[in-house]
Amino acid sequence: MHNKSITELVNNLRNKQISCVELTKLFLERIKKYDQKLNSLITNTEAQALTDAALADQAIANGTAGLLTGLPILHKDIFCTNGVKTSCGSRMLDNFIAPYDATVVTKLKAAGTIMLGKTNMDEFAMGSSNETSYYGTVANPWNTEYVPGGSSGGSAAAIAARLAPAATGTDTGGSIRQPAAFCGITGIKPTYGLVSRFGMIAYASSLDQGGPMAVSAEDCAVMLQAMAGFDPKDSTSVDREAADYIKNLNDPINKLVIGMPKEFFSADLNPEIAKVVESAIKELEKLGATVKSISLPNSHLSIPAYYVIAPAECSSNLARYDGVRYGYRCENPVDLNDFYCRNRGEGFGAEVKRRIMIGTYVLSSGYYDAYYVKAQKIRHLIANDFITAFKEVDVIMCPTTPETAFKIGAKNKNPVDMYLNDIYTTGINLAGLPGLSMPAGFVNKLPVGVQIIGNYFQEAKILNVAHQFQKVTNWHKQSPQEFA
Amino acid sequence: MSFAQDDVKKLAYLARLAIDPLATSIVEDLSNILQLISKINEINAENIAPMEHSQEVSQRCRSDIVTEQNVRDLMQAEIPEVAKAAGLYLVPKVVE
Repeated sequence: MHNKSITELVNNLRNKQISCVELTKLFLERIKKYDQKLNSLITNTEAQALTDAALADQAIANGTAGLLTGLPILHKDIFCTNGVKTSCGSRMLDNFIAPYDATVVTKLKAAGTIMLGKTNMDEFAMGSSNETSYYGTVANPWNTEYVPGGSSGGSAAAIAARLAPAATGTDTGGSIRQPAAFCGITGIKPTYGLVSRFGMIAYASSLDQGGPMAVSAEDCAVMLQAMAGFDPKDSTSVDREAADYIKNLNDPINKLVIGMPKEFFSADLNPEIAKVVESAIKELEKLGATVKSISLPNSHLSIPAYYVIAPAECSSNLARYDGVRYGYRCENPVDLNDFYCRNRGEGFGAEVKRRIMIGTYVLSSGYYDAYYVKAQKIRHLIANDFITAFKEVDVIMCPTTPETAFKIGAKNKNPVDMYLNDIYTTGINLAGLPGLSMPAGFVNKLPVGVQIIGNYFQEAKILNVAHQFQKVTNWHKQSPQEFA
Repeated sequence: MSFAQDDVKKLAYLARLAIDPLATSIVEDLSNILQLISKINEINAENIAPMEHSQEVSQRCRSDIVTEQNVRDLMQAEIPEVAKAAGLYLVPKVVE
């Protein structure tokens, strides 16, 4: 049952082959059995889940069921959930009970999903390995000595171990796609502005975007259908007609033109990863797609530009955590300045502090133009490279990451080593484009992800391409033996 | 390019972060990051406009009507009793 697709599970619930309460219990049992090894959850909402599941059974009996009624899911602990702890992986918010729901949570509730719990993550979504979480590292289910990626590492590990059929994630520089790649699952970062950021704790507001993580592209399409759409509560939400992400999944791809950026297949790429990506592209060629070499000449600047813009926005966004109205409060402050400094110094972890300080530097007088404005200009160049490429191709394919998952602790000496993990993903956030990662093979028994990048609001197209690939391959159906 | 200990001390103060300014790892880590981001100076982008939003949309305006209710009690439920009084938040004394 736990290996079934979302569509199969929803149909089984509708046909009463299994009840919502039974299905919820099944996944809660799996969480109990396996999560001690993984640490993928920060909060388990078992009691509420069982109450909601009983209500979902009633809705099915009454004929008032929605798109996903009775489907158990997990939410990344960055989404505010009314009455439930929302920590963002930080000591700063360890005592924070959100007083409202994020729009994504509201929408998924309205579609009928049942929340099983909140997933572990890098603190304030700042990390690529889940090691910066106040709640400890998450283990990769394919090898528990390895990281699951980050920052949505808890969501990715939980899906890979089949602790839930789907989870929410967020992606600022690769935080859905990189953990999806490391854990052998599928995840999509939508176009900036498609999924509401209201109630999604802000890290870098011009880059942050929520999206679904699940076993397959088909499952992600169903989840995205429920999550996407204009929200007046988010000032950057784009007001456009709702798209259908499910109806085009089975479209043929015989006229598809795939762009392969030469810069992403350079000598720096692990040759074994290159082989996996190239064979995935060959599978699509067998289905009629054609391949074209393209160039993204400014892509080498995406990491430096990202690490100016994201910390700048982070230093501004995280200025709100002063410990006055909510969040961590230190003991016995001597004065107001000591109160602020110690609340923040003790409440934030090392990586968050580093990014706040870099952000403070690039926004400070005398450096603003040289760093922040310059990085925003480079951002334009990076976006223009993609816009030019999409005049010739329908989608762009490349690796999601330059290597497979690494050992816990392997990249903690120099933060820059960790940052370079997002070399193929940050440019997509800077440009605001949609990108998907899907599993396409293994290297040394660890999953390899392939990234499919689409033009603005072409989520349906990249989901269609990924679904066609998954119809003729079974990489997405592989799951780690230890959690079978 | 690198930071000195005094630079880090100043940044930590501006960001209101209590850190150990003598910890060499912070200075070293921030210097490594500075070196990484300084690569943006390798190219000339003089005539390029800075990018604000990928869709080039501007902020929406809405009618000037009240949409939210007063939720002070709900918001104050977030903090312990010792940190609040009469609907206000308590902080260390500012004026002697």
